[in-house]
Amino acid sequence: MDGLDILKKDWKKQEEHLPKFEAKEIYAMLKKKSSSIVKWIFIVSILEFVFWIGLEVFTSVQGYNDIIVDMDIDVLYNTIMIINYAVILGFIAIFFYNYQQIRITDNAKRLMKKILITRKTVKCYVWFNIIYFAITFMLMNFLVIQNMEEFQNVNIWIFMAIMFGIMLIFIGLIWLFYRLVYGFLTRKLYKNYKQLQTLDL
Amino acid sequence: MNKKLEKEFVKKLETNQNIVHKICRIYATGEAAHKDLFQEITIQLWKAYPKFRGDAKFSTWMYRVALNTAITLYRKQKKKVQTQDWDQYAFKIKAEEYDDTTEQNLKLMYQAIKELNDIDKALVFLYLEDKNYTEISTTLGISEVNARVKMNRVKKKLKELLSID
Repeated sequence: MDGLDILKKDWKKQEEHLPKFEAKEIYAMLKKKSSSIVKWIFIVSILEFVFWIGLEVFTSVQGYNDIIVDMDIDVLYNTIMIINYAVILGFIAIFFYNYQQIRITDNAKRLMKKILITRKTVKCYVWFNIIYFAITFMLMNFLVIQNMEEFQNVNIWIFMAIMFGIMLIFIGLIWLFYRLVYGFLTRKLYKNYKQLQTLDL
Repeated sequence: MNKKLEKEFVKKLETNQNIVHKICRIYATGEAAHKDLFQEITIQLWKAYPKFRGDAKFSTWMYRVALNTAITLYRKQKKKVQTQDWDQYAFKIKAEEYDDTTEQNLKLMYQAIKELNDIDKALVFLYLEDKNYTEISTTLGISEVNARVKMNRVKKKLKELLSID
């Protein structure tokens, strides 16, 4: 008989020594807040959607629009905006669908997979935002410089390079922020999922 | 939520709470952590309870939700309270039943289990609970063959840990 089987015998005996909670204590626990990572991933994801949409609204309220109308590129600008909002709505729909699919009664592997997929949707959303932001930011800068009298004397490439640098710093900061927030939330989950996955290879 | 449902749930959990305590015993160290994990499992069970149809046994359903909470949803609290006494009763073995070597081995075995990763702990837990490989494989979502292979590896690992000490 190996060690684990000896333990198995003892395992059954330990029941009498186990702690016992009264119904009253269990009632109290039901009122407590969950600290589940799914809950946190949900909250952080909602905040992300709010943040990016807020940023969108904020920049469109700023006087930026006037310059665009002046420059006759409002068709381009509107197209960019429409694509952006359509994609955001798409992401939100997928996110809620995936979130609904999370069931604690699934087997452990499927449960973890679904949580990670939900998480991935938001990650894709964020990267879409960053890349889309980067492209439109550079494009708009280019068009603005080309069209505005004040910038005629400035070397356009130097200006673009500076803008590009600023953009990289901005993206770097966002990336760092994500590593911290989600690394913290999903490290354990990801590790355990990998464990089950490599098992079935 | 429905008062009647709540009452029914609390009663069922109260009767079956040993399952949850045993999971806490494997996954949590110290009284505070034990209670914390127990509480999170209780919340998750309660959240899932309205969907519990009664087509499975309550205890079987509990294994799933409780283990999933321990492996997947639960984030360990940072605060570490040292409460040795709490864990001691895990090794409470009546002296007349075992000789010293066996008792020592059991202690070491519990310690070795604590060193395992979350998935291995789940395997050990289900094994100790006398679950067969079909149940183990459906609970974790791996094939039965792999559950067996993995279980043998865990046993070997535990044996090694014991022989080193």
